[in-house]
Parts: sequence; structure tokens; C-alpha cells
Amino acid sequence: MKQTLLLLAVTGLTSAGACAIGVRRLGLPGDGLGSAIRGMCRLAGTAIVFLALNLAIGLAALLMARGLLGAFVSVYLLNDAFLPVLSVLQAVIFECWQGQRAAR
Amino acid sequence: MRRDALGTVGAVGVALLLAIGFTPLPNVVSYWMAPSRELAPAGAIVILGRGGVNERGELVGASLLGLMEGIDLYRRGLAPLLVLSGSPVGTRWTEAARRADVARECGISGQAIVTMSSARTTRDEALGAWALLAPRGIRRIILVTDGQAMGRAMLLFERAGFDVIPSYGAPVLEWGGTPEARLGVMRQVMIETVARLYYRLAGYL
Repeated sequence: MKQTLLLLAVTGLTSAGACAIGVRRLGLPGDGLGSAIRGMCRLAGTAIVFLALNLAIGLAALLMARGLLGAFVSVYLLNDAFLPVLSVLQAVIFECWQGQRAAR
Repeated sequence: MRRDALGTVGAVGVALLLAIGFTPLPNVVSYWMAPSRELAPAGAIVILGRGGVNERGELVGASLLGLMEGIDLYRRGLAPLLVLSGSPVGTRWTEAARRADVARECGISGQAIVTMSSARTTRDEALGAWALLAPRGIRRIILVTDGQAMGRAMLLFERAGFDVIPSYGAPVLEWGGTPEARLGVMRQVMIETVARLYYRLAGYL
């Protein structure tokens, strides 16, 4: 419980600090925050789609390898915390790429 | 429209992630998935493979925890036999053999230990345990595995012919835990959900 509160307090504080710096120092419009949150949701959605695709293709490949090689291949090979991290990186690159097109 | 759909998926995903980290949602789901039955004496304690052995030949943490839980049940006199399972995948040491070494070092008699090293899946473990224990007339067993995996494992062992008691008896709903621990629990819940779906599609359940 203490750890949960600490995490929420720390991230709340840095978020408030970022908002203050954004508005006062960088001149960002305050009403643009909602649009930024929607952008974050889109990015998260893209990451979820990449993760689902990575898992589905990985699982299919492992099951196919079991059938073709006739040897046991564990599906737990996909159970790695780095797969979601890589999916997020894929999503960031893809969204940045789309952002470049919109900026042109 | 497509980007709106992605935004909705993302919003649901972020909301779910926050709910997992900062509410007891994973604890409740895990509790709900865990079968319950009163702990009682049985013919054997079957400890399923969990994570295996590292490159130095040491049992990984989850494997050692499962073994210690089984040894504790044995010392409480709940069964006269320990069946130690483990996959041979990975290193030149098998998980089952290393578990047997540790059990003997803990003072368990070699006659009370049976190892099962060839099973690579939970289904293989159920069939292998039946092949080992049915000729000894053992039908009732205490099963040791992760809480989230217990439901599927129990069904498989019951399907093989056993009368199964989960090692923890009745599950306890724990409200605490750190956000990272809750994320770990939910990860296991999701893995187990996919495994159950696969086992149903394959006709194992």
C-alpha cells in the first residue's frame, strides 16, 4: 500500500511539474492536454496491436515448429517481459512515422 | 475511424493496466481461478515442474519453492511418497533429479522419492504420474503447482484417473502486494487463460 501511494505520488508530482513547465516555459496550450492524452491512447492501442500480432505469430511459429520438426518446442519461449517492451518500441516508431506524414 | 478504434483499444488497455497495478483486481481473478478442496491425507504428493534448472545446475526459485511446499506437506504426514517432476529441457541436469538431490539433502528418504523426468507438458505429467502411481494402487494425490495453473492441472490429473487435492487446500484471498507483484500475478493469469484455451481446443480438457 505504501509503495502504491509512493508511486502514485511521485508520478503525480512529476506530471504536475511537466504541466507547469509545458505551459509557463514552453508555451504549450493548456487545452492541448486532452489531445495529447488521446494521442497516448492511440500509441498504447498501436502497442497492444503489435503485442497481439507478435504473440499470435510467435505462437503459430512455435506450434508449426512442433509439427514440422517433430520435436518439443516450449511455448514458454514467448513468455518474456521484453516482448511488450519491443512492441511499445514498434508502436512508437510506427506512430512517429505516421506523425511525419501528417506534418508534411 | 481506424485511429479512433486504436485510441479506444489503447484507452481500455491503459485503464486495465492501471487497474492491475493499483487495485486488487489480479488478486481477485487469481483467487477466483484457484480450485478449493480441504487438505487431507493422500497416497502421494505430486510436485509439477516449474521453471527447471539454471546453467549452473541449480533449481530456479519457483522450482525450489514448489519442492519446499511438497517437503512441508510430506513432513506434516499428509502422504508417504513424493513424486518429483521436471522437464529435461535446457541443461544437462534434469529438474526432477536436482529436486531429488535437494529433497535427500533435506532428510527425505530416497525410498520416499520418485522422479519423473520425461514429461514436458502438464498433460504429459498427468499421464506419467498415472503410469507411475496406478500400479502402486495410489489414486488420491496432493498436487503442488502455481495457484493459477492449479485449475487446469487438477482437471488433467482427474481426467487421467486421480482424485486430486490442491496443495494449499482452500485458496486465501490476499489483498496486498506491490504493483509489480500484481502485474506478475495477472501475467500468470493471462498465460494460464491462453493455456486453458489451447488445451480445450486440442481436446485435452
